[in-house]
Amino acid sequence: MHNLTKQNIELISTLTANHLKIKYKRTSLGFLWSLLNPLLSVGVISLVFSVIMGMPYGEFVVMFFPAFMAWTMFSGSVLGATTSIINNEALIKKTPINIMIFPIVNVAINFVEFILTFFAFLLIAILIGYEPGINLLYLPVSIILLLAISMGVALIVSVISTYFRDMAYLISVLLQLWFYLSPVLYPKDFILGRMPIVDLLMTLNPMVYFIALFRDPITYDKGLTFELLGLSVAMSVVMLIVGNAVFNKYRHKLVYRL
Amino acid sequence: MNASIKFKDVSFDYIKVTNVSSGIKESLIGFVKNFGQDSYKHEQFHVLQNANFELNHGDRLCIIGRNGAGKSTMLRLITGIYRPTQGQILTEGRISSLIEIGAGMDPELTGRENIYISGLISGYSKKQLLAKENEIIEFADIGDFIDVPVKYYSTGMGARLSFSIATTIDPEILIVDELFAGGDINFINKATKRIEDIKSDASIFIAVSHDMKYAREFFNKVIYINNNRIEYFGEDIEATIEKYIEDNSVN
Repeated sequence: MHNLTKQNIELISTLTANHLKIKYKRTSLGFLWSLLNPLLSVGVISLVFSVIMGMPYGEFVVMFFPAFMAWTMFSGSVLGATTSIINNEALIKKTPINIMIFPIVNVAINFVEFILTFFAFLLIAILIGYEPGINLLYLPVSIILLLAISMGVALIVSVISTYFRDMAYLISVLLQLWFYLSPVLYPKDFILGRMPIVDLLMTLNPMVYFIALFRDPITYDKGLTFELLGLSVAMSVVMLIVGNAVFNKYRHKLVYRL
Repeated sequence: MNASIKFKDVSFDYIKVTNVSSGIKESLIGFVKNFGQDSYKHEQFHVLQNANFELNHGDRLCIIGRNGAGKSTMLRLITGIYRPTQGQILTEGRISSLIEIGAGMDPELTGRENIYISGLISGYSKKQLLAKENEIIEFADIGDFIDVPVKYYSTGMGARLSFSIATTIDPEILIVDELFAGGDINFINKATKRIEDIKSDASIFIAVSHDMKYAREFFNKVIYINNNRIEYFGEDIEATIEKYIEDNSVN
């Protein structure tokens, strides 16, 4: 990503802003839907699952929303990446554009929506009685790490699904499976110690750590442990480097695969 | 500004994708057998072979040839969208390209918003575009439509705006596929005048044209592509056009 020029970055921000502008055009609430959509989703899902989990509604929301936001940012970026290059065939074939812009714009769109809803939620939670702790100051670190891993994975996925068109569909199913295997709808402790295989999955699943980056400070008012930070920094950096390398290896061949 | 383009023994192969699947069953078997590769035949196809030429500033090149001869491919090679399979292409100067009317425009966005997208893609900065916005709109001359989403434009309006974006900010190398496609008389006259201006700015202008009148009028060099090779490159435009017409006479 070091080879992005100033124009490239201006183009990324313009395309991101345009996309967000177009997305809800002709609706009367417009961009507000970006906020309302996840807010209402969390409201509805919490209504059902707080009963199933036997948790008070408010408690469930505070447990669920940080994880759900982080998951939505990650899975949205990955899912969007599957079509990010294919959908821009017209541009790629007719203008000398830096192809890397498209997966990046896709991540940027998800990121902007994530940031907005995330802080809207925090604000609402505080208004209805959630007491913010000092550990919320860890959040900028969590956010940067989540952005980095989403970007790395998105870059790889964008290349793979341009070469293998079946991957787009496969990935969307795999993401659903991954969602249930990750502690989003339930706290991690809830599922630990039941079956060895589940415990193993909870250790190997990278999303467990990225969810903890948000849940620890918000839900449990806990600081990020050295272990958690080390692991998630390592994973983000490795994915970002690998994503970049994979993309740069194939960037000039992608146009022939459209 | 010393714009130049050099093609050194350039060949370009394209991967031709032919659909060979015939149904769900075959697709499934193929998917398992080929480990997820799609059921298309990928063939190497020689679009352009051993192309050699050199353009320097002040050159106006017209590319002629039959449909599928490789004209657009050559433009894409010059712009850098495709990379040569063999050989080398050396270009100096900023390229402003108009490979297709409306390329790089988002139909959902207004003309004004699209000026920025197209402009940024062509390598201009936001600042430059801000400074030239009014001039671009003025030349496009599409009135109130500038603030209407591009999907409601007529073909000609799209052509006007594209042409205006590509030519208003001093292009060093201007590349146009299908000169004046979709424009009315008024637009053709304006565009002709603009090309005359660019001519005197000593930059390089390259276009594909199927209109032999323009081929004679605007250019000082011609490339005739026949059977995926450059059959002629040089200044004898008249004779080349004769040859092209002769090669393709229906009788």
